[in-house]
Amino acid sequence: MKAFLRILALGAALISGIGAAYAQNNAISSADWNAYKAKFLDGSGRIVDDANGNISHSEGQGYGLLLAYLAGARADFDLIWSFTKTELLLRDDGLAVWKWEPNANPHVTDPNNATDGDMLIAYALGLAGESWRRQDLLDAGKGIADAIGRAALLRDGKEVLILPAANGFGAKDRTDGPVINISYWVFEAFPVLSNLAPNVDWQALRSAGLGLARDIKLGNAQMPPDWLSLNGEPKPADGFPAEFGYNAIRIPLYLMRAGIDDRKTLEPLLKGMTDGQGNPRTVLLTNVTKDVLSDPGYRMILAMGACVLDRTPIPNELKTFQPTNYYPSTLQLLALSFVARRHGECL
Amino acid sequence: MLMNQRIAVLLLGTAVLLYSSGGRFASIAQVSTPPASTSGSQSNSSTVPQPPAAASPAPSSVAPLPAQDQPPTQAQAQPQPEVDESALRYFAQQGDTKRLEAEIARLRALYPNWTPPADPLAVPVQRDAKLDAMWKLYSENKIAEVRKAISDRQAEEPGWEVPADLLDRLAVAEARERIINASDLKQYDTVIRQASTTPSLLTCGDLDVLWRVAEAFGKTDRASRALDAYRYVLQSCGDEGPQRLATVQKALAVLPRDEFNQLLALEKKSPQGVGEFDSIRDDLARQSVGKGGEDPKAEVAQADLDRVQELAQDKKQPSDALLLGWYNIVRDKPQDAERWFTQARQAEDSAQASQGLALAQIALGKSPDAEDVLYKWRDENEDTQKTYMAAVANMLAIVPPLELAPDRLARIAAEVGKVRDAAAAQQFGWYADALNQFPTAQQWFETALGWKPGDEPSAYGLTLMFWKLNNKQGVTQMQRLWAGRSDRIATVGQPQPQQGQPAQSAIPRQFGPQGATQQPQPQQQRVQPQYAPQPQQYTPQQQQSTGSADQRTDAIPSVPQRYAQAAPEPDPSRYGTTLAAYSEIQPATPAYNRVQQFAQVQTAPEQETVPQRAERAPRITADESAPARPATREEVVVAQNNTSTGSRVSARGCSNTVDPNLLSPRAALQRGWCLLNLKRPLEAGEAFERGLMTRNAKDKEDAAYGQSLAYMQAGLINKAALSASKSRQSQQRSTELQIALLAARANDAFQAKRYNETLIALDERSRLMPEDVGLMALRGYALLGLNRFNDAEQIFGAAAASGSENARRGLLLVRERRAERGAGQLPR
Repeated sequence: MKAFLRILALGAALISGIGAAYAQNNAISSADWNAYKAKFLDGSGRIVDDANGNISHSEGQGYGLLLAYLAGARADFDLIWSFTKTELLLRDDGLAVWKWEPNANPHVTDPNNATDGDMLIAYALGLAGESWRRQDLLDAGKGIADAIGRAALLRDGKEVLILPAANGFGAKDRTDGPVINISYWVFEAFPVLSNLAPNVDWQALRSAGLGLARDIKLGNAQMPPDWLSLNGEPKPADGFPAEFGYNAIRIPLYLMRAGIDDRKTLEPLLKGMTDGQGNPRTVLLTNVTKDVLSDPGYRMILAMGACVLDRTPIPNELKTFQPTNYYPSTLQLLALSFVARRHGECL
Repeated sequence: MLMNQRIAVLLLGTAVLLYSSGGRFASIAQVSTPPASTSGSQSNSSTVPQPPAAASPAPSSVAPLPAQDQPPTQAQAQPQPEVDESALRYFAQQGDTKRLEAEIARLRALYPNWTPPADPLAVPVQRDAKLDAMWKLYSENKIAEVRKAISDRQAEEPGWEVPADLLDRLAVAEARERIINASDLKQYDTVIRQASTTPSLLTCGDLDVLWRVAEAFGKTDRASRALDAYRYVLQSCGDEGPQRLATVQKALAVLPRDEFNQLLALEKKSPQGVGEFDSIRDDLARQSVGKGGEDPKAEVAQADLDRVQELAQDKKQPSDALLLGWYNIVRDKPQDAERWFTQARQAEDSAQASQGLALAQIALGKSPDAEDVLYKWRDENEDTQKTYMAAVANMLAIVPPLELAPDRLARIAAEVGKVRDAAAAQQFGWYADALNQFPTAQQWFETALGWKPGDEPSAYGLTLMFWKLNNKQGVTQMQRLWAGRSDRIATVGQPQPQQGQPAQSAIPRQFGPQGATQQPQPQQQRVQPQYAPQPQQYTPQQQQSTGSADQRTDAIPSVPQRYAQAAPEPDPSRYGTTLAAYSEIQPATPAYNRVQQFAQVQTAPEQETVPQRAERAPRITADESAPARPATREEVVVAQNNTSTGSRVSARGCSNTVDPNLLSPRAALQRGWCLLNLKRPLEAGEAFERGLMTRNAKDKEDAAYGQSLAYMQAGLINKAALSASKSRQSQQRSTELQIALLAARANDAFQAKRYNETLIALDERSRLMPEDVGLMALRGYALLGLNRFNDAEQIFGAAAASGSENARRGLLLVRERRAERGAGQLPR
């Protein structure tokens, strides 16, 4: 009975999420977006990961599309989408190849995908297609969302999980497989993806992700690792650092942006990624701080947490956006736009 | 309807011949289902109407296949829309003829009734700077930026209508990018899906796309579709030779032979009767022979083979000879392969030709040639390296062992060490073993095991060497380590069940040159080492330790043997050491080793069994599929001295050839020791001869001692005895030499079946030193050789009581021989 109620409640959350998601158009100021795109969007429509050899990837294209949508920048959206479509959306199964290297020929050398990138792209296409009444975007978004359902999910009984990629992470692919990455759950995307591809069980996916975000607490740190093996008892995946790292740092951001703001879920994550001086950090599962993070993009996640949980005002230095590197700057805009729309009281 | 379509197709078939360019390959449009929808490229379809005909090929365009799936031909039913010629005008204005032609072809395909303007420049241009900028971006292939520019303008000018032609061109350009990118990534389904939604792209104006689509069909098991596409190009896209040839070349890599032959049937001949695809037919034959060289079961038409042979003979291109070489090598025709590879290599010495030639030579039993041929290319790639190692392993496995020049052995050892090739190291072990260089063999086997820990043959070789070197602890340890994993390791040193070979074992086998080249024997002979006097001290410096308790070694007091540099104690830490270490442990100068081998002490055949090794030398792929190395050669455990190695005398100091008479006596003496350590006893003897000319009494004594040892090593017992007398030796040395000489003489005599002399030498020796059980057994066999059964029985009995397996066997032999001669018959 309890379970049933929980499902009902989640269902309500999923449905209520839709309106909120679509209503975010123009949540990023044109000044912030212009600063972002001046630094990370090149003329051909690719988002440049400047801390990573200036490569591009499906995640970056997905973020770029989402931010352009949130900024209401239609022309930039079309620019990014054109590149994404022609350069990455090449796989036979309808998913995007994950990596594009400016100095390689051909630019794509690894045909594998990254499912969070696919999800972000489909999500942004769904948002923009609906808001701007663009059937071409909706069709493309549906194609990717369906492809995720076909090729990038792991179904085990009723449980549905995200495979980080179509190849290489399943039970048959690795001795410690399946291996997942909790930060690939872009919770806010599920209502939109559900609209695009109603036949895929996004609800079950959301439930599983929430369960993981709440329950996976490993080592002295009592935190989830970036890469988690679900072969037997959950444990850090072989070949990856056993740490709550730069991937996982997005988990609380995604939860909050999807309106999941219960203290029980958020607080342990936010505390775990805070060092003794209140700085954001990556942390080994042994609870030894790995990197103390000073970039405003990372600090903003903690500030957003304090805002969501305790209505703590966002510090002034984080309110104004000044791009640093691609990844933290992206996270900062995602956080800022959310606070602007939903927690204006913290600004 | 069906009827009409048939007619249409027939008509189209005619049209195809008339069609020159601008046609569209409509077969693509029939591809199964539309894409799952990655095709968002038909942009803004909700707001911008597509040109009606864009999605449905007009009937007059080329449709090579029955068009049952084709959408109804709306273009016929609907009024022809006005053709947007803005792009055309723009390209004309820019002088971009390539794009201008492509645009004309595209518009023709879309609007069959449309006629291009005679002079596109004459058409009045309505200036629209922003639109011109978009077309400019488009002509620079900055498609995404055009998209952006459109969006920007739409935001600025809400009423602005994007020209449908521009949108269409963008969609097509994006589709083209996707097709090329997906094709590069071998995402063939994407290629076909995208092509099927963008049929306007499939025109003769863009052969690259047609080729890629054809390839995608071919790679997804739709050969007939692929054939259609290639055929379409040949039939519809003009007569330009290079383009037709390129199309057929592309098809060659994609189409199965049957389909490809259909394409070849479209060949045109020059007035002189030369077929335009003649060169392709050559390639086809090459391809066929090439496949035959990869797969021995692949069927290759004789005509193809003949054609390539003609080409190889006429044009002398090494590539053709190579094809034939590989073809023959995988079909076990090494002689033919050798011929072709040789031809290829003569035309151009390449890694591939050398590797092939080496493989053929290995197969023909000419592995030393193979080693030589491939040495230059050994590091070129993994294949050449493997083949080189196979050549090395095979040449080391040759029986009787090859005499290899020192520099050649050195380079081989260096390579084996560099590559850490366990199989070749193992063969080095057997090679050293065959030359009776047991400590060296031991090290090679240890090295092989270090590189490949589970290698049973190497473990067996190592155990065998331990046994031969009387390292009982080593044998026991190996047997413990390999318990349950190797029967033959377990039985090393154990008596073999009698196998009814009395005749063979009754008479001691002869050693020496004949013995060394004998056919494999099932039995190993061995003298049980007991203890020995100390003639093994070679260098004067070692003299002071002579006679000390720890100098007692379980050695046969006979011809003193030296084992080059290779006698240090086994040391597992040597595994994986540097190159220098490997060359150190290489078997020393073989030529002299042969001499030494022939001079080997021979004693009675002890029938302790050494299980036979049946290693196979790596052949071709170093995978142990090689000819069995004829394993057994008689082996003798000889005196060796692990503690007083020759390392004190540098081998480097005498590797050259020098007339010792040009040296000072002292230098000649040093050189003598050095040569002795290098197993060059005859040269050492000459050096010591010069050394004898000293006035220094001590040096003279050393020289005489050394010369005696040298001649013993060379098997020249009488000369050794003479040398010993050339200078007064210390009592101790004198006795040592005497004991060693007598044992050597006894063995020598025994080998020559001069049993009485054997006994005399042994008697003399026994006055200087008690006889060990090994020599007791030798005495027993000598007595047996004289048919003195009772005496033999007695001495064998005594030695057997001391634990000699050899003697125990002697006892059995005595009984057998008696039985043969009849009970009670005891002739003397």
